Amino acid sequence: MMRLLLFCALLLLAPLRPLSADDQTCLRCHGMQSMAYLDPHTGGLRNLAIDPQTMAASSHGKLRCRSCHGPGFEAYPHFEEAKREALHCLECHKGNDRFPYALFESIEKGFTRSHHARALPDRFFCSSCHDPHAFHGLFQTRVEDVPKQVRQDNHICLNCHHNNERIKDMTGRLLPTLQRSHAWLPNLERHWQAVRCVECHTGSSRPQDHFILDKSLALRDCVACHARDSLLTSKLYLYRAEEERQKAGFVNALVLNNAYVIGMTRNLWLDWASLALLALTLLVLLGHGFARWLVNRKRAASNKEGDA
Amino acid sequence: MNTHSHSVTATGRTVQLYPLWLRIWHWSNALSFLMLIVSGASLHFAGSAWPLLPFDTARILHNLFGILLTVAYSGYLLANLLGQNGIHYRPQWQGLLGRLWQQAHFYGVGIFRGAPHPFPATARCKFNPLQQVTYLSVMFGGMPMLIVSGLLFFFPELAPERLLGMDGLWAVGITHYVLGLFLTAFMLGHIYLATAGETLTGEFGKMIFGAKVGEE
Repeated sequence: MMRLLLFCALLLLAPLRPLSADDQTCLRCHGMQSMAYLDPHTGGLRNLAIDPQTMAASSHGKLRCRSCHGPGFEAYPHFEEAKREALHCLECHKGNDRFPYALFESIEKGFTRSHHARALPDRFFCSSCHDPHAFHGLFQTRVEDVPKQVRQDNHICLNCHHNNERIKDMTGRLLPTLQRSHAWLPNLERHWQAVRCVECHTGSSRPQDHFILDKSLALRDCVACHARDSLLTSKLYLYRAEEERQKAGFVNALVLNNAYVIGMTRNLWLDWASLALLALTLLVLLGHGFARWLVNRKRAASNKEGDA
Repeated sequence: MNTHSHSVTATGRTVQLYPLWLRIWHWSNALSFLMLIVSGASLHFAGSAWPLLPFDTARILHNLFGILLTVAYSGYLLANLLGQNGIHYRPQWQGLLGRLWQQAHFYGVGIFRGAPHPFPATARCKFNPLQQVTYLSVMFGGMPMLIVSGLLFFFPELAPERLLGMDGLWAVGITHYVLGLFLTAFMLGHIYLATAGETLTGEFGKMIFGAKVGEE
C-alpha cells in the first residue's frame, strides 16, 4: 500500500522540476498547509504556507527560494532583520529584456505615485497584491476570455478590499463596504463582472498602469466607457480587439469592433448608415412636400386667373 | 393620415374611428417615442461633439419613457385584440399588391394632379392599403421586438450568452438600435403623411378631437 501511495505521489510530482536541496529545506516547513504564525501586533494569523505545485506553475516557477529570499533566511530561526526586509522585485524586473518598453520602469513610476504607496509607505509592496508564489504574468499571456481576466484582476483588489480584517490589518481602520462606496454605479454586479477595478481607479490609460488613485479621484464618468472612444478600448479590451482581429480577420473585426459595452452598438459604419438613412428619409419627405407646395401654388394661381 | 371627410349615412348611425382611449394612447406613445429618440441618440452618441443630453439624464429618461411606452403598448395590444379597433389592421390579401400600387401611385403622381384619395376611410377600414400594411408590421412586428430588446437591458441575465456567433447582449443592442432607427424613419414619414389629408392639419385634428364616419 505504501509503495502504491509513493508511486502516486511520484506521478503527481513528475511534471515539476526537481527541487534543489535548498528548496527542499525551505519546503520542509513552508510546504505544510498549516504553516502560519500569530502576528503579535494584529493578533491575526499570517499564512506562510507555499503550495509547491502552484509555485511551479507560476511565473516564478523556475526560480529557487534563495533567488528572492536573501541570506538572512539561510538559517533557522530566520534573522529578524531579514523578516522585515521587503522583496526587491525590481532588481530582476527592471532593465530586463524579457519585459519590453521599459514596462517595469513605468510600473515603478506609477506605483510610487499611487495612493497605496503614499498612504502605506512601509507596508505596501508588489507582493501585497501579486503573490509571488502564485502570480501569473497576466498580460504576457494571451487573454482568451475577458470575464476571466476581469475576475482574475479584480480578485487581486478584492483580496483586501472585500476583507475587512485584512484592511484593518494593513491600515488600522475599517473602510466602507464596496457596495456602499459604489452605490452611485447602476447595475453594480454587472459592472464588476465586465470591468476591472483599475479601469476607474488608475490615473492614466496605459494598460499596466499602477498609479492607483485616492478614491476621491476615481473616475465617475459613465461616458468615459459608454462612448466610441471608450477608456476600455485602450486598456482591457485592447487585448480582446487584438484577438478578434486574428480570429475574424481585419475587415470583420472592424465591423464588429468595440461592440462589447452594454447599451452601445459602437460601430462607426452602422452609425453612418443610420444617419444616411434618416437624412435620405428627410430629403425624400421634404422634396415631396416642396413639390406639393409648388403644385398647389400653381393651381391656386391658375384658379385665380380662371376666376378673373 | 386619413383623407376622407366625416360623413354620416341616412340612418344617422356613426362610428368613431379614433375613440378616446386610442387618442390618449397615440399621444402618449408619440411623447414617449420622441423622448426615447432624443435620449437614445444621447446614449448612443455619448461623448461626441453633438449637443446631446448628459449621459446620466439620458439614461434615466430612456428607462422611464421605455417603461411608459411598454405599459401603454400593452394596453393598446389588449384593446386591439379584444376590441373592435383590431379589424382595421387585418388586410384583405386578395388584390393587395394592386391596391398598394394604386396608393403608391397616388402619393407619387395623383397627389400632384389633385386626384381624389383612392381609399377613403370607412367604418370597416380607416387605413389605406399602404397604411394598413405599414401599421401592421410596425405595431405588431417592429414595436414588440423593439420593446423586448429594450427590456432585455433591464434583465441582461435573460439575454442569450451567444447569438448568431456574437455576444448575446451585443446582438440584442444592435437589434434595438436598428429597430429604433427604422421606427424613427417611420415616425418621420407618419408625421409628413399626416399633412397629406384633405387639408394640411385635418388629420392632426382628427387624432385630437376624433372623427366619425357613417356605419356601413
